[in-house]
This record gives sequence, structure tokens and C-alpha cells, in this order.
Amino acid sequence: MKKLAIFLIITFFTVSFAFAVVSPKEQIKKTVDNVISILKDPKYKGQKKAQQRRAALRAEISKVFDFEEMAKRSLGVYWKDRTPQERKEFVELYKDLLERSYSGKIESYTDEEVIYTDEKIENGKFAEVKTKIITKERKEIPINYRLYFNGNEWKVYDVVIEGVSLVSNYRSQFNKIIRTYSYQELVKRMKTKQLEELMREK
Amino acid sequence: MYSGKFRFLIITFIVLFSTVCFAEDRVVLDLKGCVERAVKFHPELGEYKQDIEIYKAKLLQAQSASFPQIELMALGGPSPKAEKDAISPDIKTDVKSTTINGVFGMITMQVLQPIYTFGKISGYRTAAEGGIKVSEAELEKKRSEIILKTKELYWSLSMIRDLRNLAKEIKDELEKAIKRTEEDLKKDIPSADELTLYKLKTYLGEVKRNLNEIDKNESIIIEALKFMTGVPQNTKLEIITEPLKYEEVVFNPDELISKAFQLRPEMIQIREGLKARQALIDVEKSNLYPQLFFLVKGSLAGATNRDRIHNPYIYDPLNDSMLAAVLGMKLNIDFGITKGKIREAEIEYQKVLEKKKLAESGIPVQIMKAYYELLEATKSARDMDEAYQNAKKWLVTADANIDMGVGETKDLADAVLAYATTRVNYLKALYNQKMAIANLLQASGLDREREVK
Repeated sequence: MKKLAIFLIITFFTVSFAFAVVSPKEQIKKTVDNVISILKDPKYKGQKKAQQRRAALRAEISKVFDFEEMAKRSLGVYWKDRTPQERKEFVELYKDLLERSYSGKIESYTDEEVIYTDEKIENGKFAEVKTKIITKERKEIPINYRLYFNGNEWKVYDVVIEGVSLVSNYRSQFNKIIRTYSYQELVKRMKTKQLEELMREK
Repeated sequence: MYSGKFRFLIITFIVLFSTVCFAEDRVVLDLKGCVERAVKFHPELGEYKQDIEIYKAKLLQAQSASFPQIELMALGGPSPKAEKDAISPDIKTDVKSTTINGVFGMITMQVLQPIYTFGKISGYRTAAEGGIKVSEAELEKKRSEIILKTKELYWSLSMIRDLRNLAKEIKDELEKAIKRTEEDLKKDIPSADELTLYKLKTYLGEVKRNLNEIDKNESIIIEALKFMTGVPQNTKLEIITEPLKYEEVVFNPDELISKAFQLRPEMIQIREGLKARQALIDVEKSNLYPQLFFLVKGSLAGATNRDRIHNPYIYDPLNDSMLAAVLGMKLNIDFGITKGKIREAEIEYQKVLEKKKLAESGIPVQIMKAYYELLEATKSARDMDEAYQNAKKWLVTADANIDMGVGETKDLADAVLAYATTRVNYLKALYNQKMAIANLLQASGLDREREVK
């Protein structure tokens, strides 16, 4: 009975703390607001400021996205077979490409409206924040963020666009390449893409 | 400078003047507005409205037939001389024309009041009343066609605008891809090649052509809607379209069939037509019986050169007066003409009965056809929605894979094509569903009740 009471008290305080910090919805809203303010900031406007703008966007995104968790989940069963060095290299590659992709997509959304439709929290550990981007033509693009509580704050571990989980998609695509070719082939392709992106930046 | 009253007058004048000047510069309509204007101002309705007026005039004639009919006639002219001496002691009748040395004046009057017509007057009245209702139903039938046509144009416009959004979206993406490929080629990025650039530019040309066609079709539809809604040629018509969306609709076909028998203009025409035809049979039958009437007849004549003779045996039409009130009867006797006319009227009645039979068996078929078409259109819209949602997922997936370096350009191209194709087909399916609903409402006679009243 005593044990149960302690467990309940600990659980209560953990959950309360999770809510007390910043709710997942607030966390996402804060990031989205910051991203929009970067896009609207005159000091980041124009083609010449593209690199600075992207760097600012990537920095903002990094605050809420847990790329290591995403990379781990995307690699799935093949994660455990990787050496610490391989894991580090993979996470960096994954993070770089995903940040570029996400910040690139955000740049094209400027005057669209973002609405927050729903928030679900499970056991105080996992959450889903549902958003919709409303375009000028009143087209709705649903983007849901899946988050987990790392003890201090909520972190995004997956993004679901139009019902497609990026992590699930990458897991199946990575698995296919590893099964058909090899892990090295997967990294080679990602590195080629990264190289191309770096060449584009020049 | 100006008194308050004078200033008020000036402001009122300016407001009124501007209202008159700019009232018809621009008309903004949504679907409801289009339908309401079309059923009111469509140019074709004028002819049908005049048909109603014809029957109203016939009713007026029939109603007036029960009132007295008064005939007045006045005559005047030269009068040959005639004196009392000429007939006393000897009667002299050969008055020569050379003795015309005066003028005469004459007024004749006849008042005929029908007393009993064996149903002729009431028959004509019932037939005219029926005629009005039949013409009104004909007008409603035309309105129903106009509502359907207006909806067809409106939803076509909505589809075209949605297609334009899609075409613009693809155009923007193609332009971005072309720009990126051109930059990649300049920077010698390995994955970039000339072939991709030409492909993209070819697709862009095709999309631009589609956009031009969309612009043309939009202009034509707006012109057609101008005609439908009676908006003058020099007035700008703006149509607010709502995007095509899947509609969850439930109809009970049995209820629609019973509604159709009450509400369809054709059924109203048949019901009223039968009454009118029966009345016309009665009118023809009334000719078998005498028409009874009360008649008052009188005349007053006077000539400047004639003596008035107070002798009942002598009557001078140019210089006499008369008043008589009588009861009368008129009967036309023929050997088959009246019976033939009765038969003809009965056949006309039978014709309407045949129409009734046709409508009673045809309307349920028409409703069931429209109902099954709606079911099919609804299912297709649902299926196409699913296909479109999956095409979007395919596109997101292919795009994400390219961004991560693990996807093929071909997969992305296939996804874009599937996205565009399913979007177009989805829009067509939604349009078909809208039109299927409109057709079913028209077939059941609910369209005017729902859209206008």
C-alpha cells in the first residue's frame, strides 16, 4: 500500500511537472511562431540572406526536434547493429538532410495560416499535436507532430504530413535499401544528397 | 453657408444619384443568388408569363359572361320627307329621293342577361382557371429547367476554379523545379541533367495551355450565367463559388416519388388539365340545351322632316320609339356537329388521362434513375477521395525520400502525375455528385421548393 502511494505520488508529480513546464501544443506553437517571425524578419529577407535565414531556421527547428531519436526510429532494427561511430555519422547525416528539407519547405510557406486543431497526451510521456496549414486557396495541409517528454521538455520524434509518418516512411525506405544493397549503400546515397545540397549552397 | 435642410437635400440627392448610376455596375452572386435571379429574370420566362396572362384574360371573359351584355347603337343620316297628309286619306308610299331635305338620328339598345346556360358559363370559367394553373405549372417547369442549368453552370465554374488552383500549384512547383535544375546545371551537380530540364519545360508548357483553356472556359461560363440571371451585358458579374466538397446526402426514393406526384409541375398540369378538359366537355354538352335569357330591347329615332304618327299599325323606323322586356331562349339544332364537338372534347380529356398514366409510370422510373446515379456518383466521389488522399501520401513520401537522398526522381514524377490525375478525377466526381443531387431534386419536384422558396 505504501509502495503504491509512493508510486502514485511520483507519477502525479512527474505528470504535473510535464504539464507545468510547457504543454506540447505550446511547445510547437512557440517554435512555429519563432519560425514565422524569422521568415518575416527583414534582416533575413532576400536571396542574399538565404544562408543566414536557413541557419536561423535550422537553429530554431533543432530546439524542438530530437533528430537522434528520429534517426534511431527511422533505422529501426538496424540501429542496434551500428557501431557508436556509425550511429554518430548517421544521426548527423540524417539531421542535416531533414533540417534542410524542413527549413526549405517552411520557406515556401509565408502568408499561410497555421491552426492548432487538437492535442493528445498519453501518460504524460507521449503527445500528438495536430495542426493544419491553410493556404491562400483555402487548401488544408494537415501536419501532426508526435512528441515525447524527455524529463525536461517536449521533443518532436516524428512528423505526420497528410497522414504520412516521416519516421515510418524512412524506416521502410531505409530497410528496403539495406536489405537490397547494404547499410553502406544507404549512407552513400545520403552523403551524395548532402554533397549536392552543399554544392547548391555555394 | 447652407441651411441644415438644404444640406440634407443635397446629400440625399447625391446618394440617390450615385445609387442610380452605379447600381448595375457590378453584381455579386453566390449559388442561391444565381438561382433566385435566374428564376426571376431569365429571358425565356417572359413568354411563359404571357401565356398565364392569356388565360387570365380568358377567365375575365368567362367571369363577365354571367353579367348583362349591353349593345348600344347610334345612327344618323339623311331623311326623306314624310308628312301625315301623305297617308290621309290615301296611303302614299312612294316617297321620292328628291324629297330628302332633313336628317334623322336613331339609338338602339339591347340588354341581354343570361339566366340559365346549362353549365356553359361556369364551364368556361373552370376551363380558364385550369388554363391559368396549367400555364403557371408550365412556367414552373421552365423554372425547374433553369435551376438545373444554373446549377450546372455554377458547379462547372466551381470545378474550373478548383482546376485552376491545381494547375497553378503544379505550375509553381514546375517553375521552382526548372529554376533549381538550371542552377544545378550551372553548378554541375551530378543528379542534374538537361533531359530533366526539357521534360519539366515541356510539362510547364502543357500546364500553361491548360490554364489558358481554364481562363477561356471561365469567361464563357460567366457570360452564360449573365444570360441566365438576366444581368445586362455591360454589367460586371462576380460569382462567388464555394470549393467542391463531398456531400453526405440521404434520400428515401419512395418519399421522393410521393413528393413528385404532389410537386412536379407535370403532375399539376395533368390535375388541372383534367379539370379544364372536363369543363370544356360540359361546355360542349350545354349546347344540346337551350340558353335561357332575359332581354330588354329599345330604340329611339327622330327625323327633322317627318311627322310622328301615333298609330300602332304604322311604324316609321326613322321617327319612332320602342321599349320591350322579354324572356328568351336560344337553341342551335344541328345533326351531329355538337355531338362531334362533345366527342372531340372527350378525346382531348382522354389524351390528358393517357399523359397521367405515362407520368405515373414514368416519374418513378425517372426518380429511380436519378437516385441510382446519385448513389453511383456518391460512391465514386468517396472512392476518388480515398484515391486522392493516397496520391497525396504518395507525393509526400516520394518528396521526403528525394529530400533524404533515398528516392528516385521517377517516383516523384509518377507521384505528381498520379496526384494531378486523381485530383482532376476527384473534382469531376464531386461535380458529378453535385449534379446528381440537382437532377434528383428536379426529378422529385423539390428543386424549386428547396432553392427558391
